[in-house]
Amino acid sequence: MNNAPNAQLLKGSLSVMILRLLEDRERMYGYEITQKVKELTAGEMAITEGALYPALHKLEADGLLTTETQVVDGRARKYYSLTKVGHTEAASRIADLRAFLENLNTVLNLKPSL
Amino acid sequence: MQLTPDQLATIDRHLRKENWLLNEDLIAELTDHYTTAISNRMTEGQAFSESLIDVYKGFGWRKGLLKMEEEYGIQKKRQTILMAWREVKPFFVGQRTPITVAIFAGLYQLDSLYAGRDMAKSFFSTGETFLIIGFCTSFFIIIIWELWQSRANGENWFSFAGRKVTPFVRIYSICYAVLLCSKFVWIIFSWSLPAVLAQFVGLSLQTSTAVYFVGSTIALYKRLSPKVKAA
Repeated sequence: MNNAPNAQLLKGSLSVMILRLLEDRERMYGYEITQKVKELTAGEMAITEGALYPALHKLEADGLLTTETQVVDGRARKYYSLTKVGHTEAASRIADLRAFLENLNTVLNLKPSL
Repeated sequence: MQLTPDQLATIDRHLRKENWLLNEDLIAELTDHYTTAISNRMTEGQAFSESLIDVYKGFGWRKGLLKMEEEYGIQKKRQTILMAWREVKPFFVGQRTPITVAIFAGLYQLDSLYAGRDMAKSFFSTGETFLIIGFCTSFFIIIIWELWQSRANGENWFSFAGRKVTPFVRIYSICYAVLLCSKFVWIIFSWSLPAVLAQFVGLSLQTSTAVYFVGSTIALYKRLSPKVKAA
């Protein structure tokens, strides 16, 4: 997959993807999120670290995510999980994105008029 | 694959010396990311130096790392402000409103009780002294607590001072500025108002300050509380 358009498309939906993954997995750390996306999309979609961490930090500042640090192999690992507000917001944003994708799909599948 | 102490030291040097990162929280988070990503790549047969460059590229090289640190600082400040507001708001509209009413009533009592006595008036006049003593005590407690934390984490004083006390100093300054306004500036304007109205506005200002201070302190406590647990 061409990376440039992929990155552009990802930009608007990255926070929703993070919220969806955390809805499913309860808590995850940064590297784990990048790997999960890679695994789910069979390597077709790759989240760069330069995009992931600012998105995580912004969601945390917005109060949608909370963090917990756990010591793993002698170093601190920061786990992100959804707050109560985050759960509500995740459901709403996912529904919005689904509706948008359905509409986008309708437009993209438009048959040329003869 | 476990990285050797030399390789871990290279990652640390890469983040601090070669890329000029300063924020300890961010460095800790990125160290874990670099370590996990590099060790996974090495398990797949890639060399350490190549893996390091790959991960570095993902962060957008030095420019990306520095931009991330700048953005991290902005988001942390935003987080403190939003958290403070989430704690302060219920004092005005929500379940903490009775506390605000109680503070207002308490200040009104003090104001009425000591208003006529010159000596007492200068000391207790509108409860400001109590609030100032409260600020100083909390500030002192936070400094001691932070020192204890930084010592336990092996951090130096300067990194701790620049990073964590700043939001408290800002909140303290805002509270103190409002109090001073209420004490000196408001008095000048209140001359043209009926005494009851002037007293009501003055006490409202002080109540808001006390409530803002309490809410902000709760938010700071929540934000600074270490949430570390062993694996």
